[in-house]
Amino acid sequence: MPFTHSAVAHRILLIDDDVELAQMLREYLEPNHSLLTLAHTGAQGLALLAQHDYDLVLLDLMLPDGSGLDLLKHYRRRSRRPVIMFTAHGGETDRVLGLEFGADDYLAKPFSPRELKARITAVLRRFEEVPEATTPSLTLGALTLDPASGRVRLDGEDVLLTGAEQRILELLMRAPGQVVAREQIGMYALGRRPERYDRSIDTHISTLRKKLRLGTSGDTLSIRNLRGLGYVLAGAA
Amino acid sequence: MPWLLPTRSLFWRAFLTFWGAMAIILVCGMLFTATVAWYRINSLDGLNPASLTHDARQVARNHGMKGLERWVEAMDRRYSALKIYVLDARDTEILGRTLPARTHDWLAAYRAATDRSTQADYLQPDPAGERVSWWQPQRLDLPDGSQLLMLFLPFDSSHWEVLGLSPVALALLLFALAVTAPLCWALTRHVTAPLTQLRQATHALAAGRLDAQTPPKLAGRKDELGLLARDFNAMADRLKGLVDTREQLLHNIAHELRSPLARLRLAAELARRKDERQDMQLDRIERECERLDTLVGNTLRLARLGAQPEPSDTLDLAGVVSAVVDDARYEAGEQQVRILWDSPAPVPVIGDRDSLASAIENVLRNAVRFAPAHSAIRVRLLVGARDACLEIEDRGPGVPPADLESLFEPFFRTASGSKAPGSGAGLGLSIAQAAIAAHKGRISARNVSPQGLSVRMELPLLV
Repeated sequence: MPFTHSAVAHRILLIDDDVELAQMLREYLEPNHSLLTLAHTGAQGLALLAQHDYDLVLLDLMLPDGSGLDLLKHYRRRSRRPVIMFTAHGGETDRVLGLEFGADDYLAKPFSPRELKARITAVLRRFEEVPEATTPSLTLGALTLDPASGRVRLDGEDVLLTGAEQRILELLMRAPGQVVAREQIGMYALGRRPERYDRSIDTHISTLRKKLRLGTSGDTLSIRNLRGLGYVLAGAA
Repeated sequence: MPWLLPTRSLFWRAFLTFWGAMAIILVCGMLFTATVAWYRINSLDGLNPASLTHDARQVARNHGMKGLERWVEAMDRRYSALKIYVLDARDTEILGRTLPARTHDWLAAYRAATDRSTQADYLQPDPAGERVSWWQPQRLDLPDGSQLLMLFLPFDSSHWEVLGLSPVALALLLFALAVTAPLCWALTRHVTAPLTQLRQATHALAAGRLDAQTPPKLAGRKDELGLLARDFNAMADRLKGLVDTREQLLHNIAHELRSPLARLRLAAELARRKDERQDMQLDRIERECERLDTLVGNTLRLARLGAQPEPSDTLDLAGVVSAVVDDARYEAGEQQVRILWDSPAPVPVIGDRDSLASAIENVLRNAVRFAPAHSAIRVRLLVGARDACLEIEDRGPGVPPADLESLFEPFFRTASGSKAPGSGAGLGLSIAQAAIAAHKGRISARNVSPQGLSVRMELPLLV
């Protein structure tokens, strides 16, 4: 069963230093109408990313030379395509950094293979779902977002957001001043219900704040966290 | 920091003890001196100048000058509070002693008196026993007709009586206490202040600040407290080292456990497909379980080695090596690798047989793993003056020079060495290092030409 309704097989790049695991993952994922390319070092991964386009990158952040984060940063400069990272259990710093550097989602090793499959499906579907061309663009003060093209402008300048970030912003901009529940954000932006203690939505929000320079002095726009309820985009002029 | 009750505090106890001891010594000294003075003055009771003069005259008459000298010396020894001086015609003391100033005065008064009156009146007291004064010089006649003059200086120690006066004694005591108080204070502080610092460091250590150290000034002291402070620092260092190693190890273990577990989950998921490769997946599962087992076992062994007491058995290192080589030859034979080893004469060392054997075995297994087929591994035991040196040399690919140092760190892998199947848990050489270190030995590795790795284990010989 393919991950999405796409006609062509998904090209997935898997960067993991565990050779055996990588081979087993290929064995596990390829029946799902996808093509896996394996890289075992950060350098190898970078070289492959420079030469080919991949629909999805699966990245182990714990590469022995510690190059996982660098690779992610590098890749994000030129691509918005989804990245799922593997992190250590309890490796909170890695996880937050990874999400800040633009990973769409993460899985802690040792992960359940079925969970991985579900995340891949969710991330790919989010990315490939093209909003109807008639969807009007959203404007809020100096901020505009065009859901069809995924383009975000602030004071006339382009802001580069990852897929997940853009979707969260879209959701918040559709209902300014209203509370949007975490579950709703999770389902729409990540394609899954956020788990307990799942920090990925919070991290995406904090990256959004940084990228949109929200909350700095003189700005009226802010994203507020209402504990237990969700997030509000408030103070719109 | 809580303050102690003065009665419980070491500072106050030591200070008051020192001070009290000083006061007691002072009082005792004064009492003793007063008693001695009292006794010496009392011993003059029953002595009178008349009988002494009588004795002296008799001695002079019967034994002459020599006898008189002996008599004066004897009296001197016997009555320390009484001095007797005898002067000849030229006013020279017969024992060569100098006259005290007081005695000089009496002599002068006597001479003046004798000039005024007849000597006979003055010098001849009534022999019938009329009281003779201590202060009056007495004339002695020698058999040769020459005349000597005898003077008494009684109560020579009478100035000690000042101690009998209570206000003086009290003032003296207070003065002594005032002088000794700062001295005692300084001495006590010198001893107890370091204890306070040591206590602070201990508190810090107990609170989990493992980098706690005593102040450098304290650790630099040359006395017992300095030794204690240095011991404390060494203890804190060792604790920190142990905890750091454990923490790093724990972190690494968690990381290392993840890989086999991730593969295990994946293999289990693949096995669910029940396709033609199911057996292969089950084999994978079994292999991962074995790896986990080895990893856990080695980790425990390593953790135990770090905290073992010092080994104390005497054993033959050559015998241990022989036993390990015999075991390894089987495994090496399967890979067509030869092990060259000539057992030398017994080499006595102090150690623990099991941990030494596991150290050597781990190094040897590592060599066998990397040795190419049809090559030989050379095991040599060299005995020096103080150390025995065991060298295990393979013809494998060696290790990048930059990695030689880190080779013995837990879970270390050379940059090129990926998690390929067949590689060990990454703990073998760490176990070897920990075991050799527990034997006060050293382990090191170097590359040899044309290719290969040589691991050298040095152990102190039993002397």
